[in-house]
Amino acid sequence: MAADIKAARMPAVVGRGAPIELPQILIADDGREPFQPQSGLQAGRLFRDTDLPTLIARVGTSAGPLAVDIDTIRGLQTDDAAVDFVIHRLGIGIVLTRRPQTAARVAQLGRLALLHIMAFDSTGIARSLDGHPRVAGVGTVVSPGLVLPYMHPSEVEILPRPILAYGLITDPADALACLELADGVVLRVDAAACLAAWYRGAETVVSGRAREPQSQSRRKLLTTVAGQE
Amino acid sequence: MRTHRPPSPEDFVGRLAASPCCAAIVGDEHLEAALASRAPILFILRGNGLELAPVVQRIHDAGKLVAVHLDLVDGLRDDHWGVAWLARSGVDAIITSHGQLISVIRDEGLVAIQRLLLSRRSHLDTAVTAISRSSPHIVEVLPGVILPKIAHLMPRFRSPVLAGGFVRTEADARAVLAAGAVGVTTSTAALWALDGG
Repeated sequence: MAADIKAARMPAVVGRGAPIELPQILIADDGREPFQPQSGLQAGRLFRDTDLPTLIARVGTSAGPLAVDIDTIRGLQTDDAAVDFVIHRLGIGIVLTRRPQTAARVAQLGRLALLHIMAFDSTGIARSLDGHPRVAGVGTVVSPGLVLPYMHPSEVEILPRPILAYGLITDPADALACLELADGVVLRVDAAACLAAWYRGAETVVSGRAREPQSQSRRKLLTTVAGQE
Repeated sequence: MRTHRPPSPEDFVGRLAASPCCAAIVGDEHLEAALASRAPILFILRGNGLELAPVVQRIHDAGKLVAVHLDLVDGLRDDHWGVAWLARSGVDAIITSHGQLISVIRDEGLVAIQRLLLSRRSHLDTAVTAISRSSPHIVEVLPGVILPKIAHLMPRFRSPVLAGGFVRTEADARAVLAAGAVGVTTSTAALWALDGG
């Protein structure tokens, strides 16, 4: 549903700030349903597959780290003017894009850019990385994210960080497997709810029996969830 | 000039039944090993598309079939002239991501393989609709290694499914086949001897 641009609460112009950190979880928001924050998950929000008025309206009512998959916003170009708008007017700190020039512009403005690379097969990764600007402030989106645990360590090593696993991650166990290698994952609301519930259960098991070895990323996420309750 | 007669789509799929791992050729060094392997079909994913005829002849002489990825080989445009060129070069099948070329490939009497690139759940419906419209003989799903994990999201295609991309171990290949694929394409030479059992 398109929102009324005039009625939307637009944030004030945002200045150059501290380096942006990628949240471990980004919950996808396509603007079609009321957004449901997941209690217990310290997650950011990724706007995608929506239109410009809806994006503006949603940003105005959002808290926490915000990201946008800029190529998928109808009505928005992916040029410098559009990047300046989402960063300075909307206050979005993380921009996903397929265009290296757009990513470079985001980094130039002191925000975090994540460049999509298509990980359909091993040879495609190298080809996809050809255009990566490889400058500070430009990380990588692995698409589809679900493939990340199947990639060879040497293939993961060449990806500029931070790494965001994005696409086809529907199961909490897969999300956690991705977080062993990536800095963040994108989940739909239903998958995020599953992960939050799964972790609340896992926290009980771990604190009750203290048996299961937890990797650093799992421990960090577990601590986050426990701290929210 | 073409003297080799391409197989029917049924014969092409039939070759996979006994030996379901196809050799994905991404460099010259792979070709010799693939020719000596049990792989029934060689998928050429790199190289000069304008100079393929001698390679195709060698593959046929080894008793194998050859599929060429029109979108990935050098020198050819992914249009109907590119398809015609590959047909003249003697290939048995053409792989493409472009649905509009599937009927052109069929008209040339070749096996038409359409790639389905899996990136996001929300893109799946669009891709599946496009494939239903173009009706390829075979659908190749990439990255194939995740097929077992997303099989519940996939529709039942009318066409047989191949899976390629990051399939590197026998366990991966077996899981992909168990998830419904008729075959696997892989550049891991150790898998080219895998049987269908």
